[in-house]
Amino acid sequence: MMHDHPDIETLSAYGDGELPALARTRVDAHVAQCTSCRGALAQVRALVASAAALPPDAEPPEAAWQEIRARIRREAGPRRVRRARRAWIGVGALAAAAVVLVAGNLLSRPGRSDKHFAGGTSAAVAALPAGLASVDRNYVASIAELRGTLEQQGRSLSPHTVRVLEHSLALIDTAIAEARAALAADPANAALAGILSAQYEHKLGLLQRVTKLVPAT
Amino acid sequence: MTARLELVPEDRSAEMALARRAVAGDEAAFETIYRANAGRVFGLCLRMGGSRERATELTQDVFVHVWQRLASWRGDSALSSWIYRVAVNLVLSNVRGEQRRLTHEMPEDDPKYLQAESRNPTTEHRLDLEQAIAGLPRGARTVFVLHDVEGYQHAEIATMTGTAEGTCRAQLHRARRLLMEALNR
Repeated sequence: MMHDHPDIETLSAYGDGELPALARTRVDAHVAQCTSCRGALAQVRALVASAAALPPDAEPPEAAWQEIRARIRREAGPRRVRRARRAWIGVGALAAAAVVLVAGNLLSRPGRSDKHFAGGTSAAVAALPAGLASVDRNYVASIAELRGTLEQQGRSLSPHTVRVLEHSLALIDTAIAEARAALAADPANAALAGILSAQYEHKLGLLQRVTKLVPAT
Repeated sequence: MTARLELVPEDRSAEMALARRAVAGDEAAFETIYRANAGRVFGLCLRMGGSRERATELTQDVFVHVWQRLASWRGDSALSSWIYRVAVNLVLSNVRGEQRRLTHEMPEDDPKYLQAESRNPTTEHRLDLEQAIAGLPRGARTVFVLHDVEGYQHAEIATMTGTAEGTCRAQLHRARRLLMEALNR
């Protein structure tokens, strides 16, 4: 049996089950007979429980957001300038500009690629379940923003790439339109909601890849 | 990571759409992300940073960093988990930097540091746990907060802090001893 009392750090390690077998056996035996050490061990355990129960959140001062917003606005400023400059340089190269115009039309017009949700958006969204409608709007907004970014940055795409992209977007839009129509008829169908979401993700992913992989002009 | 990470109801599609809007420059979308996660991040910064002023600065740094890196979030984990991880890494990096600067001013193992911290008027009579944590030496406080408050495992803390797992364990037990001494004083 252990004659000296184990210190708090040893009791803490004992409580966490970290002591080697021999040391653990000795502390076991000591704690079984020592009221003082049982009390100390109980205190360590109470401390650990209290720490785990501390509320995770704390309210930051409102000024924190004001400062964050000011900082990100300062950083966003130069970015906007850079984008405008890239677009201007792109227009200077006629061949590239022609391609950009084709790509811009493809990526921005609501008539063809996005006719399924841009043309009849409000009626179709209204037919979706309430929870999904807001997600749907977020997707549509994100897709529109990506198209805007592509236009703004004057991306240069080869005619072949434009054809492939147009074809892919048309296929995805068809799938989106079918999923939306099916979901409007069966709003509680979670599988259809998942399919619609997956198609939106597919479209967003495609647009994002184009934005990132094609060098700016 | 095993505890307290999911801060908001998980709707990954909505989160991804929101993040994309923020990446595209939508300030309102980013404010929504901030409002959903600021309390959790500020709570962490408060415990790790030791003062409200420092925690506010750290929280601002975390969210500016999140704004800069948001495009790299792929949706593999919840957005709140990703933000929390960014916060932990940034706070740890900050703590390490401060530790290096303060090494000559405040030896980590000097118990007088804890006593000096706890002698201010607000904690003279009875330290509550939060105040006692704030008074811990940085190394011990970091490990205690990450392990006992936030629920990280020693192996994870060792990786995050770049120290040996045994050192983390030793820091934790030391922190608990110092806290018990402070709370029983």
